[in-house]
Amino acid sequence: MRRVIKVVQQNMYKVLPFVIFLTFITLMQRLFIQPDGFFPTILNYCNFVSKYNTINMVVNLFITLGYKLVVVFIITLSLMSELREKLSHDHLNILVAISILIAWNLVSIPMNINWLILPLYLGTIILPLRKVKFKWRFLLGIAINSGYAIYILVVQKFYHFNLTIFFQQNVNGLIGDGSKNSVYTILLESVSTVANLLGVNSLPALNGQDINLTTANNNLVATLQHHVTPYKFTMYPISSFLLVGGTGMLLALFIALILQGQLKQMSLKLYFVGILLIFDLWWPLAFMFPILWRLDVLKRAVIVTITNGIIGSLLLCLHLKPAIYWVPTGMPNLFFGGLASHQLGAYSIILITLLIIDVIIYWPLAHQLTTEIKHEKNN
Amino acid sequence: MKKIIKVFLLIGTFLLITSMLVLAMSWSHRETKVNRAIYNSKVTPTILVPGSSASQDRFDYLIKQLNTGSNKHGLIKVVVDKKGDVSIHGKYYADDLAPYFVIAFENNRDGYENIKKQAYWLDKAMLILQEHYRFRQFQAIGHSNGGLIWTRYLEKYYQAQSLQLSVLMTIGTPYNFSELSVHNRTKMLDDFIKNRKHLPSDLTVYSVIGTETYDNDGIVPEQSVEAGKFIFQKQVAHYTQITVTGDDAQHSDLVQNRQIINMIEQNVLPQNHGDWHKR
Repeated sequence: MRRVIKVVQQNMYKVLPFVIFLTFITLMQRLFIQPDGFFPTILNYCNFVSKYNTINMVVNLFITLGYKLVVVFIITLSLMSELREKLSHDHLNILVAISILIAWNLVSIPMNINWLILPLYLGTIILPLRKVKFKWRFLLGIAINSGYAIYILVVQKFYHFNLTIFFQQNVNGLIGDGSKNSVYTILLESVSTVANLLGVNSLPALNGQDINLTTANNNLVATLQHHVTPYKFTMYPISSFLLVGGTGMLLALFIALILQGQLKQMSLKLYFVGILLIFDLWWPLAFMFPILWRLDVLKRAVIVTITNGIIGSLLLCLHLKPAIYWVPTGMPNLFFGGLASHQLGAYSIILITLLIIDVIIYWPLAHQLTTEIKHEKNN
Repeated sequence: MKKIIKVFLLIGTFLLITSMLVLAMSWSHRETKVNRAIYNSKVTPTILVPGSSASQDRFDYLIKQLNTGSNKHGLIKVVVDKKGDVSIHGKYYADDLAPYFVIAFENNRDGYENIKKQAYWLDKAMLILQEHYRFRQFQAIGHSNGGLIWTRYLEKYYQAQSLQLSVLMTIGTPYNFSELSVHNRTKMLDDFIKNRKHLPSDLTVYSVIGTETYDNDGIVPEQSVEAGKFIFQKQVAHYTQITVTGDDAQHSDLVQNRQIINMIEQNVLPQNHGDWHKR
């Protein structure tokens, strides 16, 4: 399975330019075109955008098709490279064609893409094929794909069952209105970090501020009425310390990677990835560096989450004003805490300090990743 | 070339983030100021919605009766046209704590589809009124279809975090349209019952039935008004049905009925918001 993951990561790097392009389109949509986007909200042209919602729908369609193509490319490239010597030329072409069809239908909208599907799907095809004799490989490949086809036709199309939505609803049910104390909040965020870096990316229940809307509203009402903030340690206030560059403070990992020697030779791709990370769009980073499905990355990311969560909670206990007010969608999490508390100065200092601490935590991992990349380039 | 692109990217990102920060700070402070005014507001208006084929002048007599003596308050009339644009007329005084708002619709036709549209427009009008006049708590009165519009609004659009409705009075409201039996439920009544869980649980509801004959007020059957119990009972805090007979008990005259005016004074209007205007 490690071999499969490595192949997937290598092919993810190959489609990085396209992913950067799609992510930039997503960012522009989030900032300018979505009815609840940043500039429509701030500059009050939501009604205009809602009136011409066709533009948003076309952009959505483009992004959806784009990410589907990404999945298809990676699966095609991976199968071609791994099964070239395991199957005859014609059999390989047929199997790849069927796999493209299956992958196209398995993946739906970008919000629901779980990148875990890549190693899972490829693992279920490549690993069994390796274990059987040559004459059975093609048939086995067809049989496995038939299983996926039956799932798509019966479960998805006939019963309209969506595994991601089912998962979301059940997780939402378990989490309910979210956490009300710092321990549970940090635990939830740690689980979110692990889930994201394992490729289970479509669970909004685990992703940031939205889960705690009722307590966030209660906090806002209490503050507006000059009462004490009732829920200081819920996800909305604590997330201001945890989500810069996505769950696991991935901006810190990026900074560590840059400082590890990439500074003199920062490619254009790194600039794009860095800019997108500032806006908390971390998928290009995952496509550029092999950070998904790795225990060493998970460990560091969880340590960063817990460290930042503890520091943030302590600061809130020491009467730092919590994040209370609403911030428009699209605002980078780097500035979320400062804007949501009306204390931009204090939060800027805190976040710079946290980023420095997180860079130190990620330093050994960044060194390891940089060494691995150099080693692969030399090979 | 790559160097130029890199410089362009850095400058562009810096400018974008700076502009976002400046705009977001200004927006956030502005919104907070408005919301603070709303959440600390002592203003509790009474908001009235007329029925089908009625205009914004429907409640003029009622409000004139309520505004007698020392208990006078401003009257604002809001009309929502077919495009959803809102126009506001009337006088409002800054220290008036219990004004009257009447919200009427250019499309004031009968029928469930129209009621859905009117509830949507009511939501739009409420948001604009809240931003304009900075209130959170309010009381509501609906005559005839006006009660249906309020019910749909409460189930579909009402948000308890930003608004607080304490009392709703519906007058001659046909929850089952013109059906004589509750066993023949209209689609609208079915939907109201299905979505009743969204009704605020701390609400007090008064449903007034007028009877000109023994079983209707000349237009709306008694059983249709009584069907409201299937929506509100065991869902809101208090639900009271009252039957009014005698003078002015015909459907269109209910808003001039003396008993109903007294009930509004006693049960709907906020207490201790007497004369703001020293004459």
